[in-house]
Amino acid sequence: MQDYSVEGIGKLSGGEYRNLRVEGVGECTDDIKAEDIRVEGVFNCSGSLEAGYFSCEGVAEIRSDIRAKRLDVEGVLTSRGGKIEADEIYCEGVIKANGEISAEVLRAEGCINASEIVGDRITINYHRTWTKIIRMCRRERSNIRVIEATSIELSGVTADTVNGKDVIIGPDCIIQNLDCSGTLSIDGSSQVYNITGTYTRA
Amino acid sequence: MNLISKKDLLAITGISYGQLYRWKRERLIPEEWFIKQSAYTGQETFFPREQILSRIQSILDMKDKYSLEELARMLSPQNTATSIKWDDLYEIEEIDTELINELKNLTGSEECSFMGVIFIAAISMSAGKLGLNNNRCADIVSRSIPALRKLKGDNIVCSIIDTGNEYHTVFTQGSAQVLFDEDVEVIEQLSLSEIADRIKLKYKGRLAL
Repeated sequence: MQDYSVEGIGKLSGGEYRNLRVEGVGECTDDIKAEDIRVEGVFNCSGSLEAGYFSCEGVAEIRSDIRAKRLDVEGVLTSRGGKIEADEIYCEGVIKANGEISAEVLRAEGCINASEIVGDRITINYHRTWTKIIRMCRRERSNIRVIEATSIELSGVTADTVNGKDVIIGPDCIIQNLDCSGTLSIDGSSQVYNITGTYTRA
Repeated sequence: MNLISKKDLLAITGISYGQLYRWKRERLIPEEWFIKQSAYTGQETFFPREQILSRIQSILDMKDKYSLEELARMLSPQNTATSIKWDDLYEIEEIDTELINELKNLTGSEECSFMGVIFIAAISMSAGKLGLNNNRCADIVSRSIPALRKLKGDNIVCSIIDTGNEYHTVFTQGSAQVLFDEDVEVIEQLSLSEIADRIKLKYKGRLAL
């Protein structure tokens, strides 16, 4: 397997690589697989992306499934039409996904707009700051339709449905429906409209 | 289709959201089994009851013996040998040996497709309940073999129907529902995918499954 680097403007027709670097503007027209993918420039992929490690410090738009062992987002990652699956996701930037995001562990300090986030441990602490990247999100809170995990910790999140075993709703959240089967704590500054489940207040 | 909600599934099996979604990511649970339906709380996910309960039991039974990758390989319908020699079927205790003898003579071929083997096991296990002797089982199997060769993938169900003077088989895949006129009686429904999982897990390493 070979390494490939885009430093100016480059076009790939998919395939399998060891290391893929995009520092300029890269476009991929088919499915791509690599051990290590780092995007520091702009990358558009119309196929699926599979990687051991995928880091997005620039701007990436993927139009099919993303599958990685670890995904780090410090820039803006947009997933259109596909799902995002990873063992571990860390987001300091922005993730926009209209499909499901599934991860064993997801930690976000940036902004996530997604239809669904599911997994084992989900932590989203979105505090609006005025860094360039977060400003691109243009929202007061991370906005997620459904969050479902064994353990959930949220702040600065708007969600329609939150289902979990142990749930901590931190400050500045608006949750329509919450189901909890373990321990539950809700910060006084957050609004949770319907609560169900056999939970105990932490 | 008999469905179970996600909440009930977790309560009955004792598994966590994390385990459910981990197994989905590892392709141990097919994506098609996550059926989304609208509910008063927005949207709720349901599963085909028998298939998901059987699959989760298999995973729980095997997860300490095999890695998730190994389990995924074993449970994936894509990773199964395409054909199996008739003589290897004697290893499968779910299949009546007399039925294998009948089929060897009747078909004249040396091998049988994987889904064919699963159907033979399924009908052999249900023969007593359906009042079928080996002769009639062999007749149904031999008529079904061409259709069975074309079946691949998950969620395959065989309906055995009585048209009045003969038993016939109807194979469906996915959530498709087949309705019959009132002269046709569905006397048994066999989930071949569930039986395939059980047979593959039980005979792993002993057969080319």
